[in-house]
Amino acid sequence: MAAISPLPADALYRRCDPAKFSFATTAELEILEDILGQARAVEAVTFGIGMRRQGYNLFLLGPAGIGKHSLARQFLDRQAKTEPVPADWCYVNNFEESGKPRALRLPAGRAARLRADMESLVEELRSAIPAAFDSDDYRTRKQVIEQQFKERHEQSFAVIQDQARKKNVALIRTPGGIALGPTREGEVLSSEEFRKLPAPEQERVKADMEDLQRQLQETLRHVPKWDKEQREKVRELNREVTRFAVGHLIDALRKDYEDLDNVREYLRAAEADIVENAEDFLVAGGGEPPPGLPFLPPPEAPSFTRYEVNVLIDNSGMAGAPVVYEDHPSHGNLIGRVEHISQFGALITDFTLIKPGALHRANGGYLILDVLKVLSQPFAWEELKRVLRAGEIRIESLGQILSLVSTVSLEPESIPLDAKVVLLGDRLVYYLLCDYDPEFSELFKIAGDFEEDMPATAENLPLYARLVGTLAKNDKLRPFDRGAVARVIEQSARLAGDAEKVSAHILSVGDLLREANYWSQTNGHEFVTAADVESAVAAQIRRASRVRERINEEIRRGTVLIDTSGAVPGQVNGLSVMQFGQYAFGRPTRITARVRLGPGRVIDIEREVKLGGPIHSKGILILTGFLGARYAADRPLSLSASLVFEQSYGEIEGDSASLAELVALLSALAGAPVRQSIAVTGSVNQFGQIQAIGAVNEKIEGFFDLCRDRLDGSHGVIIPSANVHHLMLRRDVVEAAAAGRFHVYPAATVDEAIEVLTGMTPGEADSAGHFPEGSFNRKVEDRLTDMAKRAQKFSGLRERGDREHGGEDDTS
Amino acid sequence: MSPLEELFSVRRILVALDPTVSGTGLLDTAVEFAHRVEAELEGLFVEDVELMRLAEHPFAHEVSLTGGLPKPLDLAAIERDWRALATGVRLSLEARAREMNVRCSFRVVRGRLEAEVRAAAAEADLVIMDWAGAALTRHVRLKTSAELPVAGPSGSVLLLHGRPAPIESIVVVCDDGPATKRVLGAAARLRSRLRSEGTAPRLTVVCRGESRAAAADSENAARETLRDEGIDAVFRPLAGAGPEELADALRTPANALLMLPASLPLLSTDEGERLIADSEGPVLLVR
Repeated sequence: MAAISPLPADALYRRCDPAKFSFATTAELEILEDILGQARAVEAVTFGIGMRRQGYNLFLLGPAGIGKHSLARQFLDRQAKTEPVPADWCYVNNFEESGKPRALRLPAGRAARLRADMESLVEELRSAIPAAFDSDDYRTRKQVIEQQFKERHEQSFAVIQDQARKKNVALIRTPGGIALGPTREGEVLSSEEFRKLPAPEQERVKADMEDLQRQLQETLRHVPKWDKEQREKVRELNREVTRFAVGHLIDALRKDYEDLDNVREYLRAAEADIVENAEDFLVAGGGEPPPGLPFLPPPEAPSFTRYEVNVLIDNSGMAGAPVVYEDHPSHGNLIGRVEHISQFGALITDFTLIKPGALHRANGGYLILDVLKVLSQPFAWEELKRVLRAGEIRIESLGQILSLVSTVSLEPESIPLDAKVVLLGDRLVYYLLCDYDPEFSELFKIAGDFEEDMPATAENLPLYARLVGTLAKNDKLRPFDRGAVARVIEQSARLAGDAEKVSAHILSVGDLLREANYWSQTNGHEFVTAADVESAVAAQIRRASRVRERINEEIRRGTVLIDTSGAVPGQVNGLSVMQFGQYAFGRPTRITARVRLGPGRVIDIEREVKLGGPIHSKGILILTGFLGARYAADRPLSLSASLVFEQSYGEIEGDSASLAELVALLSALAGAPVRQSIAVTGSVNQFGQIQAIGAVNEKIEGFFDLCRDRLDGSHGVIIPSANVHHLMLRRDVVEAAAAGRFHVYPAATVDEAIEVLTGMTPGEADSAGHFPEGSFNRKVEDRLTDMAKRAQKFSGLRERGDREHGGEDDTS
Repeated sequence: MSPLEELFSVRRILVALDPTVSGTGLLDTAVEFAHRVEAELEGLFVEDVELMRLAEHPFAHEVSLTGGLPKPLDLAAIERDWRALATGVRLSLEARAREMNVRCSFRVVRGRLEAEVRAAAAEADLVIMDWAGAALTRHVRLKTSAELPVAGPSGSVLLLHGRPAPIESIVVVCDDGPATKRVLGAAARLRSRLRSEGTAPRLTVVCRGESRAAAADSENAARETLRDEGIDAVFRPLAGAGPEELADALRTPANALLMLPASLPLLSTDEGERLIADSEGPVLLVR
């Protein structure tokens, strides 16, 4: 087997040649209207918009910054322009049940007109009704009614008063009523004077008084009825007068809205209410506070609020269906709310205080929501589902829903919902909702799954250049010259973590463009150049590098023990990745292995102390399987080995260090020193093949940064050969590789890695499974054979000892 | 104060209350009026001796105005009610007078209502009474109390119908009687005071005469009198109007103050009584 060679420098970085582009700067490029690299998501959105069925709402899933919102907005705006302007909605008073305001649907633009018309009507009524009641005709008719009843009162009481006078009986007012008493010559008789009267006279007076009292009682009993009759007659007169004053005004309105049954019905109810409450239009405002309550403000003029029109949604001036994005989707902001005002410590409300929610505004169109925001707002998710299920918006406060408050509030009439909801969120949330919320899949049937990257093909790169140009134009940035575009594409490949792809993460690319624009401005460039992009990239790394530099500093100072020269058995430089915020970097870690005679166990110390995650533990078990199968297929694996990440104090997860761990273990068994100038990354399977790992660029750069000051041509990193097409290394790493001062070795098998790390021939097994003399693998095999024999010997001694001491087999 | 205004000189006002009047509106108006004309105010609460005498009869009953049911008259209870009412009235009057910086006194007398009011009114320039007092029902009054304001006091009388609305207009009746100038003086004084308080009531002068010429004379005299004071007014001559026609012409809304000379023949007729009864606003009878 030939030893593997380091990768050439041009394999470490896929350069984008600016010469491929025919433009000088992005100013020459057309705006990119299409969504680049998201064909699947675009198809889903197109389908979702077209499906006008219940439950066909959309969930656009992908990481934050991928452009979900832009895509949704762009598509929905385009679609919305082709759709009809939806109806206006308003709430009006329910004259029969004021606690349940009525919702009126009007063609777009007519709700505001109705509001203005009702305001004008009330204004006109405020002069028309008083004028009607101020007329001589009305006054005369009212006087006639009052006179009729007055005469009835007078006649009834005149009889009593006359009889009382004739029978010498006085009628005297008391604080609570009328008392009757005997008189003589206009003076009430005292009881003594009365007793002096002859007995028959006394009886006669008493009888007269009783008779008058009965008559008085009888007459007084009729008084409330007469008063009621009089009030009713006056009220009927008022109705007649009001109807006459109001009728023609309402008729004119009715004509304007004759095509709208609901408005005509409302006008009919309003007219009836005006007729019933005409006195409100006669009362001037102001006045004195109620007696005994001087702290109260003077009574206000009667309110005509009940004739107002609360325009909830006014679509006048719209040119298509609405597309609404609600960035604070609280319960109230979604479905609307009923506000209250405080009056003398009490909270009061009416239909004019009903406020629309995002669902009202989006009715007839589209509503875009961030799913995490919806889920994090109390009861917003439940309410959104309820509304979508019911197909109508019912405004209820949380207090009402949870029965926390029992005060009288409004129950506005529900409004039918015809809107498509588009949720934006990451994949984890989508899958969790699919798994744990049975209603979710019924209500959000369309998933638009966003790609995080796209192939860097000859067709895509010119489009990507237009994307750069479009983002720059949209953000009012300077034009990018083609060198800058090429550098952006290279950095985009690095963001994608793949030399053959470019990132679709629009937010990150946009950030890079804006920052490059800043450097262009700082550097006094007319256009953004490749150097400006380079400055932006370098600045991004510099800003985020504090932790990385501190770690490397501690390694250089010897606080963290990492050798980068010499060779040590059982010790390998592994590579891990640390992520802080958006920045990830590679960190070299010393992995060591110790072996001794034992029962065939490889102890993962990280796992023992619960610092190793399940995937890391899986990697350890795999390498144990590989060890037994390759070197001890026909004899017991009689070792006890321990593996550890030295000076690691946090949790370790992933199997990308399993190659390094296997090499450390084999080196310890073979007693073969491992080169410390080479770091290792990769995972292994049970056949000794090396498998791809993530963040290969960061890991290589992590070791390079540590060795940067002492590069002598011996340093390098072994990576899985499957990761070669992911390489987009930093310029300084590539330059060091080109100068032969740093090497990247692509290894496909453990043996290839061992050869680089130990300088020994690994050796291939013969047909009997034995490795050639002097090879690395033979050393491992011999050591394991020796351990097996020694284990057998120890086992024999123990059995003999047991027999001598106990005479019985231990079968337990 | 102009010479015309001095004709309506009020130094002492009597506000007469009996136990059947609720009193709050009456007291407030009396204090305000006293404040406006810078007069001293006397409250008089009359305990009706006839009612006491009546209550001594074992068979005496009163019929409730609200329920219509008879119940025995209880003298002790009546006296207890009167004391409570009188105390309440006194405290209200004193409090309001203190607020408005009006000198006031209050006394309780026991006697016949008409006689006591007449006696007290002899020393007052103006008596303020509530027309609702002693009413049988909303429309019917006991005859004796209806006669009182017209035939009783020797000074002027202000009759109220509950709490009056803010005055926005003044209607004055002039004829060839002796009190005409004083009525105009009263109108001028009150108007001037209201103007200083920020309101400018309209003044309408109804000039009554037995003939057209007499009405015109009456109008000319009133015009001249008011022109001297620089007062604008609307003049409405009313010639040969009978009591009914005059009563109809003088019917005023709640925010109008009607000022009549007490010598107006109309007032001694049923139509006059009806005019006072039907007026929604206050009526000032000037002597």
